[in-house]
This record gives sequence, C-alpha cells and structure tokens, in this order.
Amino acid sequence: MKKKKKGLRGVIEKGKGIDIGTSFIHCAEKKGDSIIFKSERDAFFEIGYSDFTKRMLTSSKVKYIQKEDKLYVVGNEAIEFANIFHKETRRPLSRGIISPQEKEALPMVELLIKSVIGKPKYEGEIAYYSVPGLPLDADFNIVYHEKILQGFLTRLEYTPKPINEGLAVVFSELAEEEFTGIGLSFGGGMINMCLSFMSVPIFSFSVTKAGDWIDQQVAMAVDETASQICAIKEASLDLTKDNPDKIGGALSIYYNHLIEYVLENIKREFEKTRHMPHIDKPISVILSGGTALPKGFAPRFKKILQESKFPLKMGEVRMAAQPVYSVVKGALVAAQADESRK
Amino acid sequence: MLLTGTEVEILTIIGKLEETTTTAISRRAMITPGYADYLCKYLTKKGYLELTKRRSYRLAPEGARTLIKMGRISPIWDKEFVKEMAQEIAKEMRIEGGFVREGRRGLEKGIEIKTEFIPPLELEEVKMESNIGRVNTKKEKSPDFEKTLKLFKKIKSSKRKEE
Repeated sequence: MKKKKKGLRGVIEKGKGIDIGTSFIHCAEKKGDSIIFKSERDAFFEIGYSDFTKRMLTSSKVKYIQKEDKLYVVGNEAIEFANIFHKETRRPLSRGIISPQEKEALPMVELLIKSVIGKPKYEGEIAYYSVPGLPLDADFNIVYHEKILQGFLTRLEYTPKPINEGLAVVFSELAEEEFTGIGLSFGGGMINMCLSFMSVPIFSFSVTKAGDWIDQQVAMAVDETASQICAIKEASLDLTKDNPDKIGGALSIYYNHLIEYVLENIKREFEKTRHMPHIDKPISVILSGGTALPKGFAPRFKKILQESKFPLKMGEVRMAAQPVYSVVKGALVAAQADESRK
Repeated sequence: MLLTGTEVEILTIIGKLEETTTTAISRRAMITPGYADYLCKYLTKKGYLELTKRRSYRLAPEGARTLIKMGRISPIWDKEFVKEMAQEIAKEMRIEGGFVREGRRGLEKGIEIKTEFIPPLELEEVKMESNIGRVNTKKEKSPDFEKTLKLFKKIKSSKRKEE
C-alpha cells in the first residue's frame, strides 16, 4: 500500500536505500516514476571559531556544524576550504568504515546521515544501508561499523537492514540477467565486489585500495595534497588519452595498478570457491562508484580483464546506468521489495 | 587459512545459533541449500566446524577462535578457554609452571594483552548547531526501476516457494 505525503505532487513510496561511503552519503527514495537522490560529501574541515566567521559562512550559505567552540565546514565546501588552506579534509569514514581515529566525528556522521535520510514516513520504515564486504587486505572487522550505523538509523526510527555493496550493484543493474553476475563498486575508501547467482551472493569481498589510495599515492609521487589530486581526478582525468602531464600520467598508472589488483583478487576468490553454481551464460560485470567515473575506465577495465585468465566465461563489461547511485538504487530495490511484503 | 566472506558468514550464523542445520544456514546466509551443504562439509574438513550425531553443525574450537579473533562473538569463559589464555599470557611473560623464574626482570617488559572487545557506544549528548537544512537533491527519471523491482520480487518469491 502506498503512503501519501501531504503537500507533494506524486506519491512517495515506502522504503529507502542509503549508501554510506567514505566519500559520500547518498539516500534514495521513489516518487512516481522518478527516484529522488539526496547526497552529501562525507568530509569536514575545522576552522577557527569567531562570530565573524560564523556570520560569513551563514551568509554565503556554506554548510557548517558548530560544536562547542569549534566550527566545521561540511560537505563539498570542506574540500574547497581544504584546497585554499593547502590542507587535508578530515573524513569520519576511513577505508570504507567508521574511522576509529575520528571518534569525535561520530555525532557529526549521525547529523550528516540524518540530514540526508530525513525522517521516516512512518515509524519502522525499512531502510537498507550499504555495508562493505570483509576486507581481504586489511585486518579490521566491519562489525563495529555495521552496528554503529544500525544504531544511528534505529534512533531515527527506521528499521535498518544491511546490504553488501557489491550485491546492491547487482540488484540495481542486472535485472535482465536475472541478478546473475558481478557487481563492482569502486568507492573512495574501498572497492566492493560480489558475485551473485539469481540474486543470491556466492561470494563477496572488499579491498582497501580504492580512490583515496590513488589520490594518496599520486600526491606522494608529485608532491601535492591528496585533496588537490582528488579535485583534478574528478574534474579532468581521461583514461582514453595518453596524459603526458605529471599528474595525469601518474593517475593513469595507478588506475592500471588498481584494476589489476582487483582482478587478481577476484581470480583468487574464484579459485578458492570450489563448488560454483553452474552458470551457462557468460557472466556480466557491472562497474560503478565514483572512482570508476573517469572517461575510459570501462574500456581499460575490459582490456585488462581480457588479458587475465578467468576460470569462468566473462561476458559484457559495462558501466552502471548511474554509477554514483548504483549502490543506493540497489539498496532501494531491496527496501521496496521488503516493504511490499509487509 | 584465509576464509571467504560467505564462509565467515556461515561460521557467524552457527556461532549465534550454537547448533544448526544446513537448511537454516542457507536461509540466513541467502545461499542455496546445496551450496550451504558443500561449504559446511568443507569447513568441517578444515577443522572450523563439527558435524553432530543429529546431522547438524556446530563450531569446532578453531572456528570459535577465528570468530573471537574477528570480534564476531564474545569468548565463552569456561575452564578450557581460561586455561588456554593463561598459557598464552604465560608464554609472553616467560613464566613456567606458574612460577616467575626470572624474578622481577621477567615482568619489566610489561604485559600486552590484545583484545577485540569493543565497549558499547555511548554518544555524549553534544550540543551542536548547524545550518544543514537542505542537502543536494536530485530527481531523476528511472524508467527501468519498476521493471527491476518487479523482476526482483518475482525471483525472491520463487526462491521462497522452492524452500
């Protein structure tokens, strides 16, 4: 049964998807034949407090949080401030999970999530939130991260349910293939992968080399800040070209390395999984996430994939229809399906 | 031995239920019963699980140790576990048979006890002020979404009927 929200055209349906990433927090809900996406960058930058500064931020509509005697610029503006001051932004999430080093940021994360997801349409509305797979190359567990987010969403009166990021990509993009294939989410802090067969996850994992790793490595190589590299990467990187400039060239090299690293780990997981379900057709691969956005990423991935020897027949490699929103859309599919069973 | 995400998930499920069948595991882990059966046999062979006379699975000591190390379950403080921990600590301190042979020198290094225990989170009520009223909002047509949702519900429904 659809629930109407007073004062808005169209019907906003029950169920929400939320993608809480190292770089961005996204929320999706369905309205008519459209999806409403709400986003906020998951970063903040501390500046000295004064009444004058606060008035300046308010009048220029820069988003901020005041906590005791400190001011924190949040969102996209945080990156701009960081670039001006030639410093780094602070990230409440690190390598895909709540950062143990940023405990004081927990109330800020909660506020950011609250501002993105808003109030539930009814108490107990189902909200599927993305969680990373177990990391293959790092020794931390994701239980703390999952439970913290569950706590935040429960306090906001949602019924939170976790969904693996890679699986969410499959739900969003592989309907025509009966939700069979590989979903890859190239995030800022982590890359998540899931092989799914008829919507059932066969295996999934994450690796902690991702967009931030590229920014940091290139920053070290060319003596710039990671925030600067991130800004250049997002604005102008083209992987179809030669990139003769120092920064473009370094980014291209590290992208190659990242793709090879991911494919190597997928191959290892395939080899470890002895009893694979019998899949007749070639397996499609969906690429998504902000780190996969540069022009030419999909052809480069496909080229490197073809050079690797995979135990299964690989089919089409394509970018998600909406790469940045693929995870949150998949979470929304799961949430709406669950809501319809109530 | 490096475990895959699904294998860890199975160990966690059994850790929570203490003893369970492959049917229950497949339901909770959202994998087919055949696949769950295969993985349970594999994990039994590797020493992570034990098969009981009732044809159900429970954690073997190695499985429990793995989950404790990953912070997925709290340790059960029984006699055997305490003895094991004490022996580990004794090795660290180079104490043999419960007696300090080296005198105070053996203790100068200090004891480093690693723990996976995460204390319950108590967020202080921090007074915060913010102007985050509106966040970036986009409304995009998604003509395929309804079709995706329909197919998803169909597949899930047929899976439930199968089980």
